[in-house]
Amino acid sequence: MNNQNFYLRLIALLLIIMAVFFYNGTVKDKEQAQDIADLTAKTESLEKQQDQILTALKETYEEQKTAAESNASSDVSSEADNKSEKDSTEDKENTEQADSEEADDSDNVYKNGTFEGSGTGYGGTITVQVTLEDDTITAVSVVSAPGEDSAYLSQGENVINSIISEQSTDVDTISGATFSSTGILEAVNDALSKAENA
Amino acid sequence: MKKKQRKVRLIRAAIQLIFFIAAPSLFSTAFAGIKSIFLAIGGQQSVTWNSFLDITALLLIITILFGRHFCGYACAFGSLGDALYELTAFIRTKCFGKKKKHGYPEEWVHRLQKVKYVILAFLLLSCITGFYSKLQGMSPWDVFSMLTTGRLPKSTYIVGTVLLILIMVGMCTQERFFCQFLCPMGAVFAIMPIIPGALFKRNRSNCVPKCTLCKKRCPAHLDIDGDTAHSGECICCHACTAVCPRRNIHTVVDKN
Repeated sequence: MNNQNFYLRLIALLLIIMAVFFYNGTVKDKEQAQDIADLTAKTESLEKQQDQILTALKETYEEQKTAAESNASSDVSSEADNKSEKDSTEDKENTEQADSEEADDSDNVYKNGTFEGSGTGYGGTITVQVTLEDDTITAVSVVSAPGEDSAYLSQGENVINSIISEQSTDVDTISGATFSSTGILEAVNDALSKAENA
Repeated sequence: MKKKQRKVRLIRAAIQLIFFIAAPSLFSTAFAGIKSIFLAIGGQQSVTWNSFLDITALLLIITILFGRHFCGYACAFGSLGDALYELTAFIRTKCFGKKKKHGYPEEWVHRLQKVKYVILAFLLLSCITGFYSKLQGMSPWDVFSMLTTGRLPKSTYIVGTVLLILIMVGMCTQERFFCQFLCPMGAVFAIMPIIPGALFKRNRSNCVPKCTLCKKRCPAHLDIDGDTAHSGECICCHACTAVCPRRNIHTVVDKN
């Protein structure tokens, strides 16, 4: 038969491509099943919580009712009680407010704000911007990477997701884009060192 | 005839030089695309399209339609192999007066050509099993790509550097040593269904009896018969068309 190698290889290639699609389909199904299981578990726990809250509310309502009935005779003293209670809660609020005002970044390891750092990637310097809020890395963006191949850089940028989810630069580099992702990690470390509180 | 061979070789060298300077990392990007598929499977995630796969798909489609011209003309690592081989051949003729093309015997070449499939299988299996992350610093391609950007490899790349040196020594001993015997991307290209019309074919009835000039000149020692089990090894260097005294070798596309 003419060109039998060609046809055999064509069939093999198509089979491989189909296998990848089939694999993707099964993974998606699995993910969906997992999502559904997670959601049902969540709604169940929420329903339980709701029941608990309702019964608790009912109990307190009944307790208060009986208490109000027994206190009905001694009105005057309870009013005074109420007033003092109010005062104390106001005080509490005030102190809390002061607390939150004090909670600026001087106690934190890192200052709040956006910091720039640079590292060496595949073909030169990569500059990134790191945004910090209460010692949490909220955003990392690549500002410039002139020496980076765009295909590698966009793969390497995936390391940013792991930095943010792990809240650490001690994460695996992206294989296939080792240099770009290492450069980004270096740059983030550099930015963090600039953000440190003295 | 010699003139024509020279012309074909020079045009090819010029194109290779342009690609070497402009895009020295195409081959490893294409393979990174293949790896990304298997790494995703290894991590039990769904395979998603990424920027590496753009390059992989482009090169595979070009190969299926036109044969392995990427390997012969555009791959920086292949060009490095050609340069080292030509340099060795030049030294041999100038210093030792040996004019014959040097290389391994045909049987060895055909056997060694199977090694690249083992390497491909090993790399893809290690991607699936997660062993791949332990191989960091061992890739001679990483070291090569560092060198092409003008940086010296870091100390963690000792294994890769040693492998690269060994490969470069091998490149001097046989034309297209790495591409034929070791290249995992070459293995992928070699099993692609290249359209039979793009394959080189000779009109056997018109051949000078017992000539075999084309086979001797072919870096892969192919019979040049269009679609055969070995036809994927052809890197489209066009040496056979240039060497044939009767201009008897064409692709079907050429002929029409």
